Amino acid sequence: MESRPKPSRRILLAGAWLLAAGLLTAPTAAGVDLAPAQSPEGYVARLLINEVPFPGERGWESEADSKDAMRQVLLVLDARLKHIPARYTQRQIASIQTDDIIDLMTAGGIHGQIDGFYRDDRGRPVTVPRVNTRLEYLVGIASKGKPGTFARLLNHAQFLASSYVLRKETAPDLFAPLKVVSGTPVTGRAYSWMTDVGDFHPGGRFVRIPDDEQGGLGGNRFFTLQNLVP
Amino acid sequence: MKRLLSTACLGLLLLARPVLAAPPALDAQLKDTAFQYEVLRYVYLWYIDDRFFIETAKATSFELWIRPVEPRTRDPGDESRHAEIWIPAAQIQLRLKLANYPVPELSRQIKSPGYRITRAAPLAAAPGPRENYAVITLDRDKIRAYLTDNRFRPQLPDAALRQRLLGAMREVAKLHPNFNPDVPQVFFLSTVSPVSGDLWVIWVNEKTAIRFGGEFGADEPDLLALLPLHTQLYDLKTHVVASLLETEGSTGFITKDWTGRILYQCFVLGERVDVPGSKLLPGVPPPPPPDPGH
Repeated sequence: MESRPKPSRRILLAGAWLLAAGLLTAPTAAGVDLAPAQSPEGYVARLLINEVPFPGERGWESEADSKDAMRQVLLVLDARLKHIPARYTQRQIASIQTDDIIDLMTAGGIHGQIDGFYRDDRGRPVTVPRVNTRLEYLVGIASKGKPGTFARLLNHAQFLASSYVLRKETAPDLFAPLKVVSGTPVTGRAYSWMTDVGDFHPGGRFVRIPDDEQGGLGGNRFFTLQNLVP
Repeated sequence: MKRLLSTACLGLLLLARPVLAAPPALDAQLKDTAFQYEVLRYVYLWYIDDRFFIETAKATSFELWIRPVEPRTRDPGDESRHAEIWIPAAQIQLRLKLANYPVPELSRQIKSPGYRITRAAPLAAAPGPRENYAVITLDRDKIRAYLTDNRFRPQLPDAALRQRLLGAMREVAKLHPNFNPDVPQVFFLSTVSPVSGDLWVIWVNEKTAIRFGGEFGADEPDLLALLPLHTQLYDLKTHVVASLLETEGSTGFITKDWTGRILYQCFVLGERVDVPGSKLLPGVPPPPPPDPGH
């Protein structure tokens, strides 16, 4: 019979492998505390970090603006999970039927609903390499000197993600009260966001939330839905 | 007596007329005609099409509605300036920013060399009362002559910016190990504009468009080592659509129209750069910057 390592050694070997694969570690720096990427709250935090600008990046306005954008991105996910408006289906809005936030984020593969967030061949939620590379840069900057904007933004992303995933807490939704946008009856809440690349989104079921309703946050544009109920 | 009362009433009415507010004061750059022409040139290259010229065929002038704006939020010490330009003839509203704020973690000030367009949106109706803007009237024939004269005079990155762009391009390529390292990798760098911080690169082998965006000036090439340029990649094989209405809810698509503009700026007006595939493998150090004396 083949000799097998003792259980404690197997655990150590497994841990060493996971450590080498970067699956247990989280980027750390003084004042920054991110959950591991494989945990749901860590994965969600990485999305929030990925989707908003940090100082020096395109779309940067202020710390408060990027924090607001993080919150609203998370609330788009929440809306797609739990607040499907009348006469819509979740599949129409999110391309998937699910009650799991990770399934929602990874729907459609590497270039799916959320570009760069997908499940690998083993079903693990992963990101494209540039997401992690940027995160490492940001953590590296956050570690310079005493914790400042970079650290606060990184920690805020984790706070929002952990609050939502672990404690089932949702922050107030800036767009929930919307009833009419530019003359179009809307459902309220945001159901989509896009980085402002210059393309226009002229209409359709997704309704662009304009600047006077704070629809532009963190270099992103948020969209609500047409209210189909007369 | 009646005449006296009538005169007094008329006088009171005249005094009660609302006094029109003076248009907002613009800083020197926003008032600069050369800057305004650069904005129009950028809009011509990236946004407007045949419909604009058809609909304005009989116009003799164009207006720019310009005003400084205050952002929704502002960090302490941030002295950036923001502005809005509405171009009625093009039905486009632009938001601009002249960045000027500290980044203590990097012990430096982020400062863009001028106002840059940060956002563009279609807007058919005036965003506010005319008197809230400084309205600049430009002669249509002069604008057309300017656009025509400069149509085939691309604005290419200067040496420092080019170096930074090549470095960023290499870093992105290293994160995409699926390319064939045995063949040369072909890239096209797009033209640039003094009114935009967007930099585009087409990676021909991978049929991918890469957009870099940042707020720092071209004279700070070392920032590549300090700050990740906010990068977005578009797989042109799978993520180009006729209309974003086809992809409602997704974050990673661009339209054929936008793709065409990127390709034109890169392939036709931009610069080709060939890099041996082996030089883009992870772990291979980047080449040293060229000696500025040669």
